[in-house]
Amino acid sequence: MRIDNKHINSILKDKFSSFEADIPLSDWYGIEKKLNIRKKRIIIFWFSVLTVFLLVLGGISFNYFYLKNENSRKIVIIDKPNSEVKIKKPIDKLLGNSKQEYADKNKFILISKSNKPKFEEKIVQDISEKIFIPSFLPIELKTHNITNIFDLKFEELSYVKNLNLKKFPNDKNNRKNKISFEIGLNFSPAMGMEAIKENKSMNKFINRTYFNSINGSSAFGNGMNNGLNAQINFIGKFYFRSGMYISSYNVHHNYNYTISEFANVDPKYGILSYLPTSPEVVKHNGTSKLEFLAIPVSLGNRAYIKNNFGIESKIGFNFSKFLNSDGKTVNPTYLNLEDIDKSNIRNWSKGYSVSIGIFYQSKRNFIFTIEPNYSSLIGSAYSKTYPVKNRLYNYGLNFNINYIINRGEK
Amino acid sequence: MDKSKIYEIIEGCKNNNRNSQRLLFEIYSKKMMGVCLRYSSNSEIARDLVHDGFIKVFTKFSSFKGDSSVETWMTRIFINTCLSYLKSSANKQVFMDINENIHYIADESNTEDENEFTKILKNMPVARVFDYINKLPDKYKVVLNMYSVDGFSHQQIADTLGIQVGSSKSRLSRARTMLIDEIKKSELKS
Repeated sequence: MRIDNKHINSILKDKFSSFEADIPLSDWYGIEKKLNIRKKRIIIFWFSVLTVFLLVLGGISFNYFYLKNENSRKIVIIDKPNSEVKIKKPIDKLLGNSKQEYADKNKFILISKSNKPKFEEKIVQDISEKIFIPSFLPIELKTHNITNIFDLKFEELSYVKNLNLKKFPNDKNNRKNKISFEIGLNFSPAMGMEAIKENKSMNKFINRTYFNSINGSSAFGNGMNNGLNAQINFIGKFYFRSGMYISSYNVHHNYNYTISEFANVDPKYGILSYLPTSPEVVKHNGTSKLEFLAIPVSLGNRAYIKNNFGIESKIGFNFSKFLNSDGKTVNPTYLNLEDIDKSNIRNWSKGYSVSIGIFYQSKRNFIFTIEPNYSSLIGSAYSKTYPVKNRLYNYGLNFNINYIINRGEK
Repeated sequence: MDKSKIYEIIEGCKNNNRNSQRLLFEIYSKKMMGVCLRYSSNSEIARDLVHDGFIKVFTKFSSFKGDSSVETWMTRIFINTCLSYLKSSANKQVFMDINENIHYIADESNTEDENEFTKILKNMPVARVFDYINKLPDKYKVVLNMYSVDGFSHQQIADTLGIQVGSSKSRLSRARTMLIDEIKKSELKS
């Protein structure tokens, strides 16, 4: 006769309904730390989303408020003095404004491709015959060699573009002249942080109380990215920038924990067991520092709000060569405090940075930029064989001064 | 603990309140450690699974609708965490469906045996029963735990483990037989 299975099920269910096992309440700290890291990640994620949103919003607003601004000065570019100019009628409604106000806002600037002064009068005459310009509107004639078109301020150029008037010259020579170069210095003081998590392939070497031991020990440190850069500008507002920076990540630690177990470690299988040992209190207050030589490649954008002022945004990727380390760290297996072992640090790491800020362009071809900056290593600074991963990151301000070597002139 | 206090803790957890999360951990950590021990058989691994399980619980708390008790809801999450661990560990036999044609093992016990066995099982301390179950191979132990202790149906077990319903029944039958044999061998003799 078969043993009644249902009976066995009910006995097992009944027996295990209140089955519990002891777990140290201190394990909560490991969970709390992980939840806090997750919270930081969520903040960084939303910070990134917000940055992208602001960039898009900024771009749209810029287009809306500046490119379509009827109050911009009106520009007419004429290829040849005698050519037929097909342009739209200027605004001929007074819109309730005074004549003077209207005149101030709707000043005409005529730009001729020719640089021969004798044509000037003819140009004005031609234009006046072909389009309606209220007599009270001032007409200012500028004669430009067309190759100098990029000397014009952004708002002027944009207005031409907006009116669908004469297109910008697009032959090979002029396209070449759109490119300009800059060199500069960069200085970025920052707050340094590190995020530590397990290396899953090596987690058998992590002491079970490691995360509890280091919990709360990391505080804001400081970081720095200083260096030289060279930049190539294209299409007037975009640029590629590269250079060489010294990046340092300094994290302040305040360790205070007790070692009460000794890990019995097999080099192949990891920690096999924990042996009781006499309690040892570890207290340490200090800064650990990692220094890299970073070679960045950045893609940036300068959106002019005024002639010499605007918003600059940049996203960059870099390769960082490990240079030096200093300070102490907790060994994830044995929990002892030890000097940072350089052999545990990757020789090359990858990183990225995002920044958005404001710039000012002086008359002497210097561009000053100040922008909040976030930079981080991609992945861990530790090697793959180290039991934990540490991702270093900096929040800070980026100060940059660049000099425009050439402005694309012939 | 009264219901209003539990309700308060649940609401706190939904709002990501650390104190409430800590209280929930204090109330249920031992129970969940028991669940993880049943599936993993190793206290160190079970501690890791409790850690991972609570992270999942706290990050998914907004999805708790209160259709079942919070303990039942959490137990399901912890069981899934244990199964994910088993899936990622070297021991993948739990999720394999190889050469497991349906065969129910005939039990040749008689009524006297049955009475004696159930009597022994009833009186046996839970820790001892746990030890016996723990000796079973993972693929049998998991099905026995899911069906007999945690109340999964064979269809649910099959869906969760990615095996056939027949395999689930077969494993359960085999697990019971092995458990009975082992207990008989040790207890009846003594």
